[in-house]
Amino acid sequence: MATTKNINAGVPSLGNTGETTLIISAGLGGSLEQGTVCWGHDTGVTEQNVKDFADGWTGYAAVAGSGDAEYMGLNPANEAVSPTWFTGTMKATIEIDHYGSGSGPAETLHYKTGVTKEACEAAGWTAYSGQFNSTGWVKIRITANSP
Amino acid sequence: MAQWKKHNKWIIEYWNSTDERVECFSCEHGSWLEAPISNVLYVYVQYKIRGKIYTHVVSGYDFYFFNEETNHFGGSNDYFDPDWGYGREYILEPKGESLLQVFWDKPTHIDGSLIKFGVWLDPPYDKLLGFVGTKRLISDCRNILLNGD
Repeated sequence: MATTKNINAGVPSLGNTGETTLIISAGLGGSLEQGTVCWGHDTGVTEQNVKDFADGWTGYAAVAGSGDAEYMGLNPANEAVSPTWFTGTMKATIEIDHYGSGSGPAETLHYKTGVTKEACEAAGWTAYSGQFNSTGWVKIRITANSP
Repeated sequence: MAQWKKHNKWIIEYWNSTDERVECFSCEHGSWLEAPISNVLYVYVQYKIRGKIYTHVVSGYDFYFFNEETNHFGGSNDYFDPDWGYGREYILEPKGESLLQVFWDKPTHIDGSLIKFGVWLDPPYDKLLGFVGTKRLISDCRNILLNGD
């Protein structure tokens, strides 16, 4: 189940109030979806937002299951891309399978970030190698490695 | 379509995601064998041509769907398309001749679902020595975090 919780708790500095207005007006039902997020797991999640892969991930992944059992299956070299997500400006990290063990060949992560949603989506992909500076919006790409 | 040369028996082996061999079966030519599709990565085929033994790895990229109902081939990305009722064909060399088909039936990738394999050989493949293996193909990601420090 996808939920948004602790909307105002611990959210990093937004840096641009105009961006906040944009999120609300983007049809998110009044929920201010921002900050840290976990896709694909519900129970015990400490991130500020709990979301499903079914909520906006696109690409060649096969999303199956629900709740804690939800997962995303990828053939080698196939990729899936997250929704463009507003973190606010912060030092960001990406982690796979923190709350459960995946299986099969490992995956590769890329990200892009931008001050606005449009700038983020227009940016090029950067290979994820650890903490990076989010300038406001972040998009993640996961690619299944060839075995 | 070519008339497929029949052979007596072959074996299908399965490995789990840590490469541990978990099962081994044999079956008669032309019959179907069911296995958990979550274990599938490679299909290994060992065969004999004019007295020489070959072992061939048929990887995921080498497969193409073949829909018997529509007589239509699809690409690897069709793997997740439930409309593809039948499996994939791999053509071994010499190029241009359909010599080997590995069928992969009902390719839903959900853990615990079943697939079926069948292997057919055409001349000059004079003997299938009885080894077909599978190994995990799919990367399953359980969750992704976007966090801050």
